[in-house]
Amino acid sequence: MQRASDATNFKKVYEAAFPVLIRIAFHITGDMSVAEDLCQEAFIRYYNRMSPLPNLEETKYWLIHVIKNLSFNYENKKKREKKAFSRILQLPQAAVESGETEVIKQETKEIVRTALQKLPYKLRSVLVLREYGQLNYKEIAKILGITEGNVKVRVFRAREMLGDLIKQGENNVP
Amino acid sequence: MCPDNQTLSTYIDGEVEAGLALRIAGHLNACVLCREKLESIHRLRNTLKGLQEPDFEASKIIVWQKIEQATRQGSTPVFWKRKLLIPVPVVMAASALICLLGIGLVFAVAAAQPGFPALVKIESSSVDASVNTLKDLTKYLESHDTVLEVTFQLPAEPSFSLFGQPQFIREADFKRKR
Repeated sequence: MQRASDATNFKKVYEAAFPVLIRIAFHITGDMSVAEDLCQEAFIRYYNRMSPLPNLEETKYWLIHVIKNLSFNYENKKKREKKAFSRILQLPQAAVESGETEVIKQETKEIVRTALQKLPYKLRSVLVLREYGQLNYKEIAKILGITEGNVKVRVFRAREMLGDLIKQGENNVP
Repeated sequence: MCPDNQTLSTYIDGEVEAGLALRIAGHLNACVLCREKLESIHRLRNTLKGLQEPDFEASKIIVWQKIEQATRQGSTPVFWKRKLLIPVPVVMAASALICLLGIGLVFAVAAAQPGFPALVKIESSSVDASVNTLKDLTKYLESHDTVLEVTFQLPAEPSFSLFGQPQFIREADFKRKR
């Protein structure tokens, strides 16, 4: 039994789940500070949770589910504020190698990141859970509350649409 | 026959049945077009995985500190803000009990109301009777086909109950009613 308020147990859960949660939150929201806030909120909710969860795996799914809901709320808020793309460029930049190849690589990454953020939330969340959460279709279905068949369709559509958006982005590069 | 794009996408995730996976693998050996499609999905996945990610380790420390701070502040909530864990059947049973007690209380209060000692006193040359309720009075009057003088006698210490709400009416209507 995973008791949330038990300090040792809480730390153990944090250590195990944080890397997945922050990665998912970051790639869904496209903003690191927002991802950190969402993770903090998710863990505090877990801490305040009264009923224990059976094991670490279940706890992780529960937290991913919370992160998904929080990201969805953030998405709605972001839509309202119409700041969808202004935050993407705030990412910390790694030390750039030199040469033209690196510039092109960097440009491509920006195109892909922008394309990912352009995906509708339903498709983006499923793709992020698959690619960055390393979850299988069954686990994604459980977290999103949809059928495995639906996950299959959404992953496929997300890839199709992402491919198209990347192509469009590449064509727009001067 | 070539598998459709969705099946290839599912195949790449290792989510197709074993039998179908074998057939697709066999088909891929022979079909250049499907191999290219598969390769493009692979490229897309690799590009996604290759996206530059911020320093998650630094975030891990920052978020942990924030959580510690928040949980320390909220570790001793005032009693009316504390959450309670009560099983649903217990809540339902308690609600039912409260409802029953409430209904019982209403009936008990109603039963304890003092009755009207003598609501109406009827006097005539031949009859001198008292009834306690309007129903009895109606019955009495229906059984006597004569002119009777009826006196309404209120109790010495009346206990009145309030029904309805006070309302404003026009002076003209008030006078008309009088």
